[in-house]
This record gives sequence, structure tokens and C-alpha cells, in this order.
Amino acid sequence: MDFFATIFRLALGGLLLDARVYRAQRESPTGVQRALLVVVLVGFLVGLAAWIGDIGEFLTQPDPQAVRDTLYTGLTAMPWYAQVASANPEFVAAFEQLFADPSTFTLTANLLVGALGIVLTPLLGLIGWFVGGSIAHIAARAFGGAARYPQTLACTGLAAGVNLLGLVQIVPYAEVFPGGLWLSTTLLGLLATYVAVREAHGLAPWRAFWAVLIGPLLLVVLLVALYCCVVFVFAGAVGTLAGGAGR
Amino acid sequence: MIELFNGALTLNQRLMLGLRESPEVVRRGLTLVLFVGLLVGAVSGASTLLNTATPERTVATVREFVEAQKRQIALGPNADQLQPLLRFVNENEEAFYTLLQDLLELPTPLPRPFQQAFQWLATTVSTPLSYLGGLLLTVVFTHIAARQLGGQGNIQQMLGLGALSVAPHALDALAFIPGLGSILGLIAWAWGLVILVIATSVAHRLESTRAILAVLLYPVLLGLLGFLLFCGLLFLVVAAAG
Repeated sequence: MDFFATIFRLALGGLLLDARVYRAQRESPTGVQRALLVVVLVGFLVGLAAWIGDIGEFLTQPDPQAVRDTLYTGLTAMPWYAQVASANPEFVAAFEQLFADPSTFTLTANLLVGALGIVLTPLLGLIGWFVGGSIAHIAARAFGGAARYPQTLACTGLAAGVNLLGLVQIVPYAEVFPGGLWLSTTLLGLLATYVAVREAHGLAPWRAFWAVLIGPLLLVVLLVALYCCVVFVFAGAVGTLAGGAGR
Repeated sequence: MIELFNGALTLNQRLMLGLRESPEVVRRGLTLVLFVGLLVGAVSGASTLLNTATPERTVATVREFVEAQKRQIALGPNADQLQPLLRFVNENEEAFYTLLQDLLELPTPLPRPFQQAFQWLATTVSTPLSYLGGLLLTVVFTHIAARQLGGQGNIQQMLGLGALSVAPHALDALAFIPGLGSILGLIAWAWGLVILVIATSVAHRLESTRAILAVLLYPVLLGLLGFLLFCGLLFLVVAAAG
């Protein structure tokens, strides 16, 4: 029990940007193991909470088939339907096709995907921790940081404590304001990583700031470049096809 | 907690100085955000719950809203151009209300009160997160600007003290009062802005003018950038159309 209490205290310290907890983590000989447990346990709990929330949503939603039938009956009974159908016969075929596709009316809560989240959330957390921690370590060393790799990982792992906010998903329909949870965890996660790098490497604030920001900036540049490549290739393919058709 | 809440509302600088030196500055600030968020969320969730207690009540609420919009359109300057829209709504609205009621009356594995309880709880617990998201965005940009202007505070102090600016948003709990809600929201926003300026000044040991600049710098820059982008796009559209 004490073990879980310690891990919870560490995660909470990470969430609340407690510099003392980050410093203690840097000096701890078991820092990396403890950070690993924080990442895995917080990820598991958040995945489990989201799944429980999904079950709650599933139990309070009507059968998708019944929703589809009610919508079909209701829409076709409206005056606009008769007007549009008489003016444009193709509309009826498109309308019927839409209602024939069962995927149009699936439930928002998918219990199978939710159950997968119990495993995937800690796994993605681990990958994010290793990749993010490694990039932050390289950048921090380039900016004059003094910590060893395990010390950086020990501190950046605590930033996963921010994901405790995701426990809110245990309440069904908790994303009332879309993006609120994502924005909070992303920004607080960046701040927690900044505190982790600053405390682990003893860097000045601006150096720690750039060391943390360089990873996400590179990712954005990479994604934009990838997007441009895809658009370029797609536009080229469409152009070739159009040229071929023209000949 | 209440002392911190009152201190924030009364712009108590002595309390802010004490908070700045506290090692628990972030915990205390975020507890205030949680308190205000839960209060506002619980009240606004209850207000929604009352308006959607039964399928009939939900339909009546939607009907009331549609009627208000129709009145607004009829009295507006574009009433003549919008006549086809009004005619379309008038012809179809009764069938729409029947459909809405049928959808709301569909059976679910758990009875309807469970869904409503979940939705009330969801609004209650989600509101602190929406305040936190907005607060973090504000604090990050204000902190960067304050450091550029010579501020000495750290991010924990800025976050903990900046969280005090959420206190006036307790007024958002009264947003359900028609007419008064938007005025109270505006008062809460302005009051929060004043608290943020004082919090920035205390956290970073900056004089008031620099603190004001730190709070406004990035929002003004982003606003200008947005305006320029809008003008550029408008110019391109006009050029393309011409």
C-alpha cells in the first residue's frame, strides 16, 4: 500500500510542478524505476477510467438501429423531404443509401476500443516518455545541461503525473467542453517537462525553455513537411491522371 | 481556501505576496480553480438539468429558443431576405419537434435519470478543466512576456498567482439568468484581467505598467496578426473575384 501511496505522491508532485519532488527524483538512485511506474500506473488508471466512462455512456444510449429507424421515419415525414424528393429524384437514392449504411449510426462509446485503451494508454505513455525524454536530454545537453540520461528520464517521467487530469473521464460524457482536457494536459505537460529539465540539468529558465520546446517544434516542422509531401505527391498523381484522361 | 478566494476578489496584495513565497503556490492556486469550476459547473449543470428533465421539457426549451430566433429575425434588418428561411422553419418545425421527442423517448439500458445524472456530473467536473485550459494558455504567454520584460518570477509562482484571476468567474454560476448572465460574464472577465495584472506584478516583481504590457503583449500581437491575415485573405478573395 505504501508503494502505491509513494507513486501517487510522486505523480501528484509532478502534476503540481513541485520543484522539491523533481529535485528529489534527480538524486534518487531508483529514480528511473519510480518514473517508469508513474508513467505506467497513471496511464493504466486513465485508460481504465476512460473505459468505465464508456460503459456508462453505452448504458445510457438507445440502440443505434432504433435511432436509425426513428430518424428515417421522422425525416421522411417532414414536408421538406417530399418537396426535395419531387424536385430531385436522385436525392431519394442518396438518402436511402445513407440510411442503409449501419456505420452512419454507430454509438459514440465503443467498449472494445475503450478496453484496448487500458493497454494502449500506458504503452503510448511509455513511448512518449522515452522519445520526449531523449529529445529533451539531447537538447538540454546541447544548451549546457549537466544531468545524466537516467536523471533526465527520472525527472521527465514525473511529468506524466499531469495525465492524472484524465481520470475525469471516469464520468460518462465528461468531455462537455471539447478540447478542455487535451489543452490542459498538453500545456501542463509542457510546463511539467520544463520544470523537469530545469531541475534535472540545473539550466537557466530560457535555456530550459528552448530545450523543452525544440522537440515539439521539430515535430510540428516534420508534420508540416510530411503534409506538404503528401499534398505534392497527391497533386502530382491527380495531374498525371487528368493528363492521361485528356489524351 | 475561502481566505484565498476573498483575497483574490479584493485584490489583497499582502495575501498574494504570501502566496508567492509559499512552496505550495501551485497547489493552492489550482485548488481555487477547482473550487470555482466545480461551483459554476454544478449550477450550470443543474440549470441544464431543469431544462431537460423530461422529453417534453426538452422540446419546450428548444421550441422557446427557435421562437426567440424567429422573433429576432422578423425584427432584424434582413427580415425580407430571410422570409424563405422563416417559411421553411414554420413548415417543418412541428414535424421536427415530434422527431426530437421520439428520439428522446427511445428506451436505453439504464433509465433516463441515470443519463441526466451523468450529464450533470459531467458538466460539473468538466468546467474546472475548461477554466484550467484557458488559464494555462494565458499564464504561459504572460509568463514569457513578463520574463522578456525583466520579470524575476518562476512559472510555479506565475501559475499559482495567475490562478487567482479565475476567482471572479464564480459569477458565471449566474449565467442562466436571462439578460444578466452576459453582463456578469463581462464583469467577471474584466475583474479577472485586473487580478491577472496585479498577480503578474507580484509574481515577477514588476511595476504595474510592465505588468499590464506583459498581460496584453501577446494577445494584442496575436490579434494584430489575425487581423492582418484576415485583410490579406479578403484582399485575395476580392482580387480573385475581380
